[in-house]
Amino acid sequence: MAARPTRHLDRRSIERLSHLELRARKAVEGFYSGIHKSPYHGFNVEFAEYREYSPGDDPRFLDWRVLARSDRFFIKQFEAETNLNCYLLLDTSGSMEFGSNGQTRLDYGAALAAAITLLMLRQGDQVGLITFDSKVRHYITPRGNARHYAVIRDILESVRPGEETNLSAVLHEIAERARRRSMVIIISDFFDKSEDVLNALQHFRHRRHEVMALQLLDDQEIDFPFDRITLFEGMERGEQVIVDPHVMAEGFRRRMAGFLDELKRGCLEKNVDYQRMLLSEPFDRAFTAYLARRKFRAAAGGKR
Amino acid sequence: MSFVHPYMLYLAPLVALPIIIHLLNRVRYRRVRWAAIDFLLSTEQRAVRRAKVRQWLLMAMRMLLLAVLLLALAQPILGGGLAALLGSSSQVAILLDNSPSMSALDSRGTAFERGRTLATDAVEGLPGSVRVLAGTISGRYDSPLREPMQSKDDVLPTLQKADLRAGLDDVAGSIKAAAEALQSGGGGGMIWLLTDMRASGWSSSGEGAWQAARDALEKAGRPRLVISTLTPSLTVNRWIEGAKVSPEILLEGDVPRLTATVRSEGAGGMVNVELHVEGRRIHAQSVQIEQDGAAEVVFNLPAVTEVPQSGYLQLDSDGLPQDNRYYFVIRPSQPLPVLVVDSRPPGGGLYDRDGDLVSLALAPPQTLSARSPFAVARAEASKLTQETLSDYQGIVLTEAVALDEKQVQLLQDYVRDGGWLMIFPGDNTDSRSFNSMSLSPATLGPKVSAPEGGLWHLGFVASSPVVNWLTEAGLEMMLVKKVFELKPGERDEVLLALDTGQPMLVRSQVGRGRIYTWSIGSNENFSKLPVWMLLPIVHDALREHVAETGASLSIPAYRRLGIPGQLPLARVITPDEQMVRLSFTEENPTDTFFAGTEQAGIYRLASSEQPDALAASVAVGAVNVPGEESSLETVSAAQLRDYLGFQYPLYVLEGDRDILELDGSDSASSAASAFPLAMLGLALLLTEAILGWSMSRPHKSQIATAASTSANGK
Repeated sequence: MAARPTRHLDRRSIERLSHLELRARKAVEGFYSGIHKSPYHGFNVEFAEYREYSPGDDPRFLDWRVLARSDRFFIKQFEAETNLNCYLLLDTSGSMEFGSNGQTRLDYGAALAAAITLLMLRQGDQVGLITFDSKVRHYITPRGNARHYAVIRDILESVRPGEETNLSAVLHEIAERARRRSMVIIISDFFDKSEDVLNALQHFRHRRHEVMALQLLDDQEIDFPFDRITLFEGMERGEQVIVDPHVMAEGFRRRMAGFLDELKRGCLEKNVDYQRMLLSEPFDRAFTAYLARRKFRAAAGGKR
Repeated sequence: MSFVHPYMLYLAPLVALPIIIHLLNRVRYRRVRWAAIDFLLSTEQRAVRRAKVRQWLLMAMRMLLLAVLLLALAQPILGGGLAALLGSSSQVAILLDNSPSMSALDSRGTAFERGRTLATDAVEGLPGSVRVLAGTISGRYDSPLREPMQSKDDVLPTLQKADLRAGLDDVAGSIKAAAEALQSGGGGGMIWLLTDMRASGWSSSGEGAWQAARDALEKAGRPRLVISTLTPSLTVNRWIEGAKVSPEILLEGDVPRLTATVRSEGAGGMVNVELHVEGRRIHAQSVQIEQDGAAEVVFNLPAVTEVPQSGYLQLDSDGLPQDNRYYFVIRPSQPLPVLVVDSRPPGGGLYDRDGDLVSLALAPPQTLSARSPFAVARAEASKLTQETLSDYQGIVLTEAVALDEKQVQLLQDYVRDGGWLMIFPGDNTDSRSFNSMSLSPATLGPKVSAPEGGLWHLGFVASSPVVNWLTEAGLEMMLVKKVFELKPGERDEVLLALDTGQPMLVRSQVGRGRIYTWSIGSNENFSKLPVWMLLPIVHDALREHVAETGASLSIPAYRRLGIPGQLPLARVITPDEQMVRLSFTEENPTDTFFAGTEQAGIYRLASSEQPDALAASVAVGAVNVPGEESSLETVSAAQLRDYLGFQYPLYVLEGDRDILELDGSDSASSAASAFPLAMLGLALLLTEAILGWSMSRPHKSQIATAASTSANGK
């Protein structure tokens, strides 16, 4: 059996990206102390705030000093820093093989996933990897140890484009399996019915996961720069269609623009962090800029 | 619809070029693996349909643009009839081709009748205010184009009376005459030429004639030249290109042979040729002719009689029947006048002058049963200046004595102009005086006599067809008493020499004429050369001379009657019973022409003594179609431009009815013009540019997407 070709990830870009912090926009639950704030309040952690006592609260957290001074019952709340549980979902369907500049969408996505993995692990978070096309191909449970990066990297380097995508169904399946509240980063072209995709993302949100949708697009898929009659061949089902660009280009552009707009608007409505990334732009630069904007939004009050 | 340049329509398939390019692009598509295939498959059908409509519209625009371009180049006649073609002018000169080729017949009738009907109908449809002239363009037809412009009612009889003539077209001369007529009517207007476009009529006029025609057209204000082409649909034509008889000088009783050349244009095949003489079919032969080739057919004619016999050769019928018959007349040669010059007046003896024997040799009495074409006149050398030497086919100078300067000059002029002179020395000839006259390039030396009054038995060598018969008859020696030493000139030819090498008869070429100089005299004191031997030599020399000077002596046909000698008093009665005087060309005084020979029919010769005796006159010729008229070659568009100039306003209408199908209203003035079409083409070009721009510019949704992408990426 021939050895599977491996993907050589751009380690320099990955290293550069890993120096950044990926803070969860919201505190997530975690087992380890990371730089993310845990919603589990208690002792031995940093004081957060006071709130009035209500029946059922643990009387150990009553602030007796306040009671003495004001005869009112206040409970002291503390925030504990916790580690983040992150799922990287990488689409490996046939459409991810597309790329007009010598780099496929899967190359780009794998490199981006590796960088995010390294970044998360360095800040003490746990990272898991799920690859999928029509079904889940790899399921790596989130872990936080240093050796875990090598495991994920090896998978990313060897992963190949697979079959026809069934994005929404697979996302529903994953949403069911990931029970713990996590950050879910989906790297895909999202070429499916926008309504189904958004429902799947809503499923994650319903499970109280924080979701980031990173949509990878090639410039040709937006510009449609063809001027000669061309036979287009589908990358997943192999269907063929002869297209006169003079006839079809305008309709295609309009259809694509409508889909992208619908996806973006749906993500906004469902509180999903959406980011479109063009293959023509180096992934480290694109993701760095994205994180900077994300940090700015967090500082500004969580508004996106 | 008619076009000024209909050949441009051959480029019509170019209109399909956009479709061909479109189909080629479809066949030569490239392949792309594409992820977002569902977006292509589900692209809104309505938008696709709209885009397709726009694309087909663009393609149609391009095809229309090409079509308009071709139309502009072809320059259609858009409408308005003959009156519209006239434009603002109100005069038209009509030229109807009535050359023999217009007799060509196809399913629509003869080209001539079609042309006449077309012209008559068009003239009848003209407004009364239009002034018209009409003429024919065959040969020297006395065209009414010399007359002032007339009303259409005056012109119609001219067209109705016009008939076919046998002459070549003179297109350049006719156009020049028409242009001059229009100029005299104020200039401008239109010349309407109805012709079968045979190239011969256009090329027969020299460049000088065409230059004169172009000058006349310019002076006439560049009138429009409209040509209605009536070319019949013929692919094969056969005709008799020419005929000749041998021998060339026919005497009564001779049985000549007639050799005819039959030519074919188009497919070859077997051709039947019939010989008719005096109304009877004498012989018939079949001859095989290759494609575009020629073949000769030979007939034995009946014996020549005193009365001329007329006849014709007849070919199988074809599309151009007028050239299937070739008329000719066989008649005995007329007596050729010869002047015998004596050195002295007649004495009492029978043959006491050297000229007596020569005269007897040239024109022996009937009692000798010899036939001679020569009629001998006698003159003394001293009275030579009283003779008109050009009246004679030949002059024999006997016993050459010293002539004065004027007499010598006369003889020299006669020879240089193509005359024939034979010189015999005599007893009284002084060599030195003879040589000093410089009459002949050959010179005489001393006279040598045989010893003791005896005779030399001298053999001789013949070196010319003129004298070859001597040796062929077994005559190898003759008895000579005395002889002059004869020295030929540098370029002279020795025809007869003694076996001692001494020249006996020398021929000199002087100007266009010839001089034969003997070394012996023409009396019995010099030799025992018998009269019957001298006769054929003189005969053959004269025959050869007449044949070489190109006179056609025996078979007059068509324009060149070739009546031997000058017959200033003769007349010819033309087919329309007009008496015409014969005329002679300067180049060749033996060629006889007379005006009006282009008319079809039988020409008759009448003597001046009987000018009114038409019934007694004999047929001497018939008119044959010139060979050029038989050729099917038509004048090309490029040749038209060469003749008329590239920029000249020329309109070529195909077929008969085009000009009548146009609306003949006075108000119409939409004659051919490329300007409106050019404007239409420009409008189409702009439309296409706008359509093309609208299809290539980015859609607003694309702009929005790009903007969004840009905003998110920064």
